[in-house]
Amino acid sequence: MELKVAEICGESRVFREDGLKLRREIERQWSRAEVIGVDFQNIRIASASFLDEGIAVLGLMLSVDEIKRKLKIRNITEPDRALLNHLILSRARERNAGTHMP
Amino acid sequence: MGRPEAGQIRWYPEAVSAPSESLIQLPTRATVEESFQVLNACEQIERLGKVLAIDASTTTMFGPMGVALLALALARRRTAGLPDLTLRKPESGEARRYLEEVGFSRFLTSEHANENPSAGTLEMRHLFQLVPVYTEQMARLIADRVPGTPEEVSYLIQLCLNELLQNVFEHAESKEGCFVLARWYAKTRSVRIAVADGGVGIPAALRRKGIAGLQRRNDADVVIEAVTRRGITSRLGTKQGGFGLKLLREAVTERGGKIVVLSSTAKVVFKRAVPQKPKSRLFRGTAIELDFRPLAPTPAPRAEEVF
Repeated sequence: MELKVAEICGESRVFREDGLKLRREIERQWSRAEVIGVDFQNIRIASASFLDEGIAVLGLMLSVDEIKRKLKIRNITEPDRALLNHLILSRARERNAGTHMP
Repeated sequence: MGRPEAGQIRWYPEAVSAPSESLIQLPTRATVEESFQVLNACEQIERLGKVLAIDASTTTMFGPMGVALLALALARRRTAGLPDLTLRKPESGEARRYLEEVGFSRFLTSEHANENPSAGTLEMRHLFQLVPVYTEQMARLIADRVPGTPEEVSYLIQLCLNELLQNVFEHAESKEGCFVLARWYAKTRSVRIAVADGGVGIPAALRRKGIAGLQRRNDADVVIEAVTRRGITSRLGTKQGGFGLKLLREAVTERGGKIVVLSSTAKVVFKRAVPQKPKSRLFRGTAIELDFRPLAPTPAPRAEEVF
């Protein structure tokens, strides 16, 4: 299963609402697909809100290992990859510490 | 007086002979460091109906936040139905050039206030929504001015603009929108970005969210919480958030820079050390200036990676 960010989110890839479209699609495919590819097509995102809501928030519900096993992130720019890693690990720490505010 | 060409400031010779009581005096440095004095001038701009001009003759330096605050005050003056002001130009050539570069004259009169600046310039913008193409253009433009600027610098500028503008348009409720200025300083090889809005302010936005422990704290301490504590957000309902300002603080201070936040009665300066809380005047809104050296060496990336 391959999800293309630009196809799901269109031209706007900045806001949380944009990221939510991506996460909804990931969640829809979660139980159906063995592996979910997320293709950023080398388009620069540069938005913590988008990457957090689109993917990193999964870290509040799932372990980092589960996310790594299921999601394959492709063609993401290097700065976006670094930011996404940072956000996922932050969300994982919140989950582990039980500090997540619903 | 004819309409000026793009990038050419419109000065007002009639202001030169205006009596002193009809002038609003700007401080010598209209910068973030002198925000107290700039806010004093802004208050007069917003409220005094009989004044004719802003006197910048003794101002030797302008900075992004100073100019953005002045533009916001002029917008509020128009909203209040007060007459346009003219500008008594700075005697300092450097200060005059700065005002020309940022296109300040467009903000003096209602005639040109919301006119889009020329494409491909770093003129100040008056925005009423976050336009992703604008943040991308600005980031690339600043990076293009410095040959050899790595991709990550342009990325960082875009990230900063995106986060600051999202904060404005998702939380601030500013009738005047916001004023945005991004500048590259060749001498210090630093980037300064300022965003000023006329909204409810960070302390009020967070207090009404009912976050425990914030109700009894002063404005400066609430701002410190907003910029340093993860998960603090004024987003409505159960929506996620509260990352933007913290990320920016980390990114900026790791590069030897600082963030200054003016909001309500607070002024807070974030550097690597403990935040400083200099005295400030009441400001109805939030203004944030980032000042960092994007080419400064940063700590090695953390070993743990997910993707």
